[in-house]
Amino acid sequence: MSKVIIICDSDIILKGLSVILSDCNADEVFLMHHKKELNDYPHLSGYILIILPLNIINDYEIQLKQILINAINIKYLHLIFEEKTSITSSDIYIGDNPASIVKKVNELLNSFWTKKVIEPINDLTKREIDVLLLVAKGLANKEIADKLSISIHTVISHRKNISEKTGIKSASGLTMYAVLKKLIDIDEISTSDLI
Amino acid sequence: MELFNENSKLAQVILKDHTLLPVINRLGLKLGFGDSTIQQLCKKEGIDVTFFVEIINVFHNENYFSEKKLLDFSVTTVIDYLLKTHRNYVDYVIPEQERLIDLFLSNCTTGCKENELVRKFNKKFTEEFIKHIQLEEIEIFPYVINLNEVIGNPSKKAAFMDQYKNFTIKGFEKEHNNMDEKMFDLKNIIIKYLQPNYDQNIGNSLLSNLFIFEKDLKNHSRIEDKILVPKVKQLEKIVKKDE
Repeated sequence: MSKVIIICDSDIILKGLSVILSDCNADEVFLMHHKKELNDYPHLSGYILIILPLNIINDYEIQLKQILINAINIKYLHLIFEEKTSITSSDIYIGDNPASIVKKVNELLNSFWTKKVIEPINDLTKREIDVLLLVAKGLANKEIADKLSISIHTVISHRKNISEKTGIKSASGLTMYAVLKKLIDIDEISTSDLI
Repeated sequence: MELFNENSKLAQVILKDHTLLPVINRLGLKLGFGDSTIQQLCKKEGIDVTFFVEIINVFHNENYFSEKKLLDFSVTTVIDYLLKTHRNYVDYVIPEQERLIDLFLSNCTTGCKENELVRKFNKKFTEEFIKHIQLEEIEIFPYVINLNEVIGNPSKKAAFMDQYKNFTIKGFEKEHNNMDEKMFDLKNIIIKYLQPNYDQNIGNSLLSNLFIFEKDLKNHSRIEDKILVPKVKQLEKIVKKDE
């Protein structure tokens, strides 16, 4: 999950950026007038990109890190209001065109996963099917890990991939998927409360 | 995207965005708007016009961020609206979804045993959804109303603190994720994985209904998470500051 947080006291800039970034790769974009408002979102987790004016950055990075304790990684983009020659890849000049702003944001968002190879969405692997079938039978992640002699972390990672490939997130949704795909016989589950 | 204001004619608003109709009903207005503006209609029905305008803009434009303004509304106005929305879900939206799923499945010719799972899945979703609504109505909303009363009448504070010693609004937000997940799954199952032996027109109605319900629910959660919760946190800070 990646999130973009824009902090700026100008509604024009907040609103403008939120429209421009509606096409970016972030799962969610949050708008705030002041960094204090971050205190209302202590549960924000995952990969977070914060966009804020250069002049308020200073020691903020440490403060923001203390508020966003659940973040896996935080990166920053600075808003530049005056044209200057030294605009770097970590700056957004407000005169930039929308496409190049989105590109810059996406590049930074993608850099959160530099090591991750993006696989094309295709069929489930054999191991993923093993996990899916146990989910479909109502086993919890811990039980699945024990049964397949793998770590719970690996189970969670398999489940994430299964959901990405199938478009189904909930356990009972996956049970239904397994039946519809004839990976499991309906009679094995029809009498139980799995769905 | 265009925003509406109190001088917008309501008939024009609806012609531009008909998905606002259920929202307007919940806010207390019924069809037959004539050429009246939002201001005129709200005045006639005794509805808070600023709240009305803010809510329809929140629904009309996903990027509309009016949290600041919305924080000015009394919690009772917000809760009254949320309760009306719940009633609309329970009395109409959910039964309609069940009706369409029944109709959809009753047209099945082969492989019906599997498709029957959709009915079961939807039933479970409905049960969880109603449970969620009840949790809000029985526990959360009364807490908020009581909290709000303490602000207006500090003499009630002791009794309040006694009753809600360890209760806070925190954690309430996460409640919504499960609902969204099941809704998302149901849509994908129907679109991607069901066997194509059903009546297309009914299938289309069912899906349109699901998409509308999903959008409505998302905005409903937005109002709870972005308006009610921050507002309650504000009140909690005031009431519990000396504890």
